[in-house]
Amino acid sequence: MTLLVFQRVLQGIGVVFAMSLAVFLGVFAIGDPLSLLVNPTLNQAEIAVVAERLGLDMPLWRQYLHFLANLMRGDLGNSFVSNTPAIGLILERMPATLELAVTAVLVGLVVGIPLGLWAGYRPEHWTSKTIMTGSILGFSLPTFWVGLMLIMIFAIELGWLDSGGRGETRDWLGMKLSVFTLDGWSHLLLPAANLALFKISLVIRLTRAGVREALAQDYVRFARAKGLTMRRILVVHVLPNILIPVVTVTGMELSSTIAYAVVTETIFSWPGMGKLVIDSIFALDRPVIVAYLMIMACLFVAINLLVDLGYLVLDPRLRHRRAA
Amino acid sequence: MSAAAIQEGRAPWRELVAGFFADRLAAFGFVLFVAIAILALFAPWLAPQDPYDLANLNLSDGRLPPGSTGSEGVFYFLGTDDQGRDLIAAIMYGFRVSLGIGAASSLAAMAIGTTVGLAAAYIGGWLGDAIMRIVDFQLSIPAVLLALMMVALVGSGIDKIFFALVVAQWAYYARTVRGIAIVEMQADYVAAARGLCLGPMRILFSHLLPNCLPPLLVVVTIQIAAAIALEATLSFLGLGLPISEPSLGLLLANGFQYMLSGRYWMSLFPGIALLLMIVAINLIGDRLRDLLNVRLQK
Repeated sequence: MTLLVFQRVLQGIGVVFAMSLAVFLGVFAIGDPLSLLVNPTLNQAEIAVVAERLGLDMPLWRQYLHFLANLMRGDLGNSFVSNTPAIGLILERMPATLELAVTAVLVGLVVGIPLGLWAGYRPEHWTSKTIMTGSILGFSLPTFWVGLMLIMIFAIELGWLDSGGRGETRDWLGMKLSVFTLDGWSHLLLPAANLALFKISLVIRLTRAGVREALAQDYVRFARAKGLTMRRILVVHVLPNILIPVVTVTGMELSSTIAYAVVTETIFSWPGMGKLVIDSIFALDRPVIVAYLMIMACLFVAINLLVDLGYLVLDPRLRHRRAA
Repeated sequence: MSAAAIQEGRAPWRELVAGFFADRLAAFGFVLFVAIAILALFAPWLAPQDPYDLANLNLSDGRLPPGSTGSEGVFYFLGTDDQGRDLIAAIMYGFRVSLGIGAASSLAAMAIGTTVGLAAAYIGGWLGDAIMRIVDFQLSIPAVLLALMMVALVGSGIDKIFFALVVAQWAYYARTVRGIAIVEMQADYVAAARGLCLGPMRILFSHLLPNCLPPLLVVVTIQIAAAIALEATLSFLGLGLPISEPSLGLLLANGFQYMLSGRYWMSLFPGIALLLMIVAINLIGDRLRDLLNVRLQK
């Protein structure tokens, strides 16, 4: 098992390196790094100084090593707009995005699993068919479209919830979070629901497929023969068995949820990393964009690693096979 | 298709068409898609005005609600946007832009991805593995992020969006094709073709490729819908197409500014149009997947 963990960590480091190479090639080789990384308001002499400081007179491979060395030190340059370290800006916004993404994934699980259980247990029932048609819709609807509709219905027409900003936040472990106040929830609910819709559809499909497969198994037949209620069989016997793939895929989906938060944050003016990077693209604030991409790569690798480890913890068979 | 169909002498594609239309939802999706495609193709002749021609637009007719009559007696069934564009015309042209760029980028990505996938399967060894590592790496990055990254690097505009969409999609095709081709490589017909000393190009493209087509058909359908959604998302964020040639995403973004003041129609109708197009394509894709997936067939 230690070997497997070690392997995964190595793979993760490899992915971060690949990402750094991709970002480096994108910014330094394809684009013109001077125009990308140097503040366009500087004059000619200042530009020459910056070019030398960035090492743009060196061959490409040395520039890459230079970039990597700076990356290791956590230095990706200063934002053109605020003139503070780009990485700091992103990290400052990260809790808001993580709060939104984690809430969305949890909503996806809490709503999706019961619906999926039912749809798998009674696949021919009309409610199940409605659920499945709904899940196709959930896959088809573009995120920003759903966001618009949610704002239109719940914020404008009905006026129940808020659609801009984070509301009142409380400090927790040095992070500002909305989940501790009622006002915060009133702001969090719509964007979280927006992001969750796709997850709900995904979880429903996964759970339903798992249940249908599990119901044909011997252990379910045996439990039935013992005279257990269907409710107990589903919740106590079937659910733990199908939870492993569901949790794995949902964990992986956390990465894409964080990526899609870019869209949701823009619509709901949620002050997270995604909103920051869109603003930075408009402001041509390249250091922030590069920092965002690198932090996302690290975040993805960390999440995948955690999911892999979680898999080992959840599935005893895997643990023992590797240990043997 | 199935062995029974072959024995009864029915052409496989007839079987496929019959099976497709046996499902009402899929048939509905197909009809809807054909209707949208006709509107998109013939928009210059069908649309009540040319929404790109500024001389044609009447600013005093801007932001009219659905069902109102403009200053020159023109009736606006779905209302107008802030520039005074008839929303019906804007949506028809929007279909044209969205469908065109979605389909074109998907097909280009398919050409590249298929070639890479086939080559990786045929070459095999460390080189084939290395190619697939790149594909896997790319697939681990969400498409929206990849497209954003491309747009951030190269800027916006129709050719750049096209490029970003192709970059965001090609890896799906490579992964799919390579997976099937690896299996197909073991088949007798490939051994026979090799025994005949046919060149690798011929084996790849006239022997292997036709056998990879059914899954490719499914992937391309679903990817066109995904590309349309992605383009709409980028345009909505303001990073996509120029304002002079609005796609559906841009129409939505324009309307969004007016939504808070209760002018719902400017974003609602383009939104519904976009939704109908994506759902229609996905319904077709879903049915094709059910029909062509050998594993699901009894």
